[in-house]
Amino acid sequence: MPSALASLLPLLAQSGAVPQASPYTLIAFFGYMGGVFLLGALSHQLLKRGSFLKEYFLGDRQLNAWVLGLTYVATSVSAGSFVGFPSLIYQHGWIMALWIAGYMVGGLVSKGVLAKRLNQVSRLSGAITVPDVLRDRFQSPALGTLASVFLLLFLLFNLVGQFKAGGLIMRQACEGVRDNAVYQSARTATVRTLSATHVWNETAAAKHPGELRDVEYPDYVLGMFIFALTVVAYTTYGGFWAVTWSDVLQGVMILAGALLLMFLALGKVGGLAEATNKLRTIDPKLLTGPGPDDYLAPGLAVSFFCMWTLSAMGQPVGMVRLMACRDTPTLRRSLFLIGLYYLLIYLPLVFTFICARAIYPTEYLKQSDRIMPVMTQTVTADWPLLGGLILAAPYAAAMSAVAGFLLLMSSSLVRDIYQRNFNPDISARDVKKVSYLTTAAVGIVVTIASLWPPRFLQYLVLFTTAGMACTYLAPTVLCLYWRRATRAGALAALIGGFLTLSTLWGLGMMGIGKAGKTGPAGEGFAPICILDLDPVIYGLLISFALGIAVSLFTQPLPQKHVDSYFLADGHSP
Amino acid sequence: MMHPPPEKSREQRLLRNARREGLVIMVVWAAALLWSVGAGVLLGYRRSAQEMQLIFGMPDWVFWSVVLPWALCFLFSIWFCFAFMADDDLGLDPEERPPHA
Repeated sequence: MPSALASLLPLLAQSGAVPQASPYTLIAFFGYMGGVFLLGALSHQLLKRGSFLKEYFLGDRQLNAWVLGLTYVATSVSAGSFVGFPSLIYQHGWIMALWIAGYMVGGLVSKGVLAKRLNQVSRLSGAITVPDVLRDRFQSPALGTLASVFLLLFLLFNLVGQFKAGGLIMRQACEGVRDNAVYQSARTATVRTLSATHVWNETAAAKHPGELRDVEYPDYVLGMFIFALTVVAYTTYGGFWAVTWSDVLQGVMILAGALLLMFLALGKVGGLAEATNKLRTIDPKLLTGPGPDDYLAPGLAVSFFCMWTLSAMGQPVGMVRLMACRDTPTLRRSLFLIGLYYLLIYLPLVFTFICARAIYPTEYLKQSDRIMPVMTQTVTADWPLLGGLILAAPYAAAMSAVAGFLLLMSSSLVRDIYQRNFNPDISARDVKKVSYLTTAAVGIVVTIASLWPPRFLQYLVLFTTAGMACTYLAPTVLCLYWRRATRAGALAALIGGFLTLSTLWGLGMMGIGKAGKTGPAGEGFAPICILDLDPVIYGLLISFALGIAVSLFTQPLPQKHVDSYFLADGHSP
Repeated sequence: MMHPPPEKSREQRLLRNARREGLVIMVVWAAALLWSVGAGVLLGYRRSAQEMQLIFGMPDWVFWSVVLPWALCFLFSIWFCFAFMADDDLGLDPEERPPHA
């Protein structure tokens, strides 16, 4: 669920988003962190073989089926899937099955259409990032640099959002140890530093209760620092392998958690039919469309179907994983595994939280974000360590998403900006230093930026996810499959998709076209949804249309160069 | 007498396979979208919940518009991955190729 973290952010911003940590939650949580550090250390050993850049940012294209499958789904099944989605099922009932239905073909579409050809083209030119691929295929440093700059901007906003979520999660997780002497001394040091640097003032903060920068702000900062330190350290040290192996760990935790929860919930409520009949008596709209408060208009159902498939296909973080695949048998097996994984995750989550509504008909409607941890505690009352492990899953999910983005941003800076534009002859030793320093520096910059996260950041996260799809999908598809595509066409597709999406979001934020809208389309900072369709659909359509039209009216690329990408005996570029 | 086209103009096998596989996936995507949202809206919207039948414990429209197509898509993916999708050589990175390749 590429943008699902966005739905988590407003929920976590309310107090009590995650219940106070029990010792078991913290044991499970720190057990997970220990595992991640261990994987980071092991991954570092692999950096000593072959080309450092390819190993550090692409795992030397050696991902096997299990690792590829699990890293792909772990990146897409974020913390939002495990907290935000259950909250929506609890509130809106069975209509959420239609909301998530795109995942029935999610793996096939997002991976199957591009994987083989993208991997081959990236090998042909030795590319290790998506802007790298575009730059080589269209022989355009300008296109490569522009694609990198857009990517950096999108990722910066997105990462600030993820760090904010991480800080809020950690703040909640640490609530049970706030009286501890170690925590208190760390908090005192944080307060002193924040006051000395004029970042925050306790007296002024007392006047703004309930806001992020209130008297609990130091707890958020402390939580965010712990989160940032962990994730930046293991990503910097271990590179791509640390990120993918931690994804595998997370993927297994999430799958086990979702299935266990479903069986325990069904047992608790007496079966799915019992739960559905209970919902019928609570509110009949929980069984029908568009759901309570007219949540899912038909146009939005189409939009979400496209979002979980087409938008997912256009995410550079997913494309990089496709470029890292070892061979086509690996691709085939991982494609199957991803489909199986989505089937085993999303339908069980729907069943589980339909049961949750039957167990708690109204109790958590005003704090529906708490339903996942509450449900976990309810059904695992006799096995608290198991409950702790299930609760650690969303923490793990947030970390994994951050690590993937961090590495993508760093690769864009090192490869696409620095090496390609300023220092093409950089030595292997220096590239290593620059890569470590850049990954750490990006982490530090984002950590500092997260001290002042914008208030409506969740919409920025949604915007960046849709933005990446509208900016990169059309140029990438045209680059891979259409030999007549030109660099002007690719540029037009890239800029046109971005501008269309930005315009529709901008108009929506100004309140234009919101009259009479309900559900997600009616929210204050949401974009304008013409005919109830999400802007991502218009962005993609215009991006493809511009890419094709401009290509047809501009000079084709040299035939020899194009042949090298399309013909059997074409020479490598 | 017709001669086969010269080797030089032959499109890469991987490209042909990838394009064919991509097209099949997009056709299935369109069919799944039409079925799922179409059936969901026709059978599940603006209906009385009191007269709604349950199938395996879920409202009938959820079964027909989400669970059944999901199961069929999964079966399709098994066929696609293990019977339809071709194995192709992905090639080598420039530094791995022999000098005159």
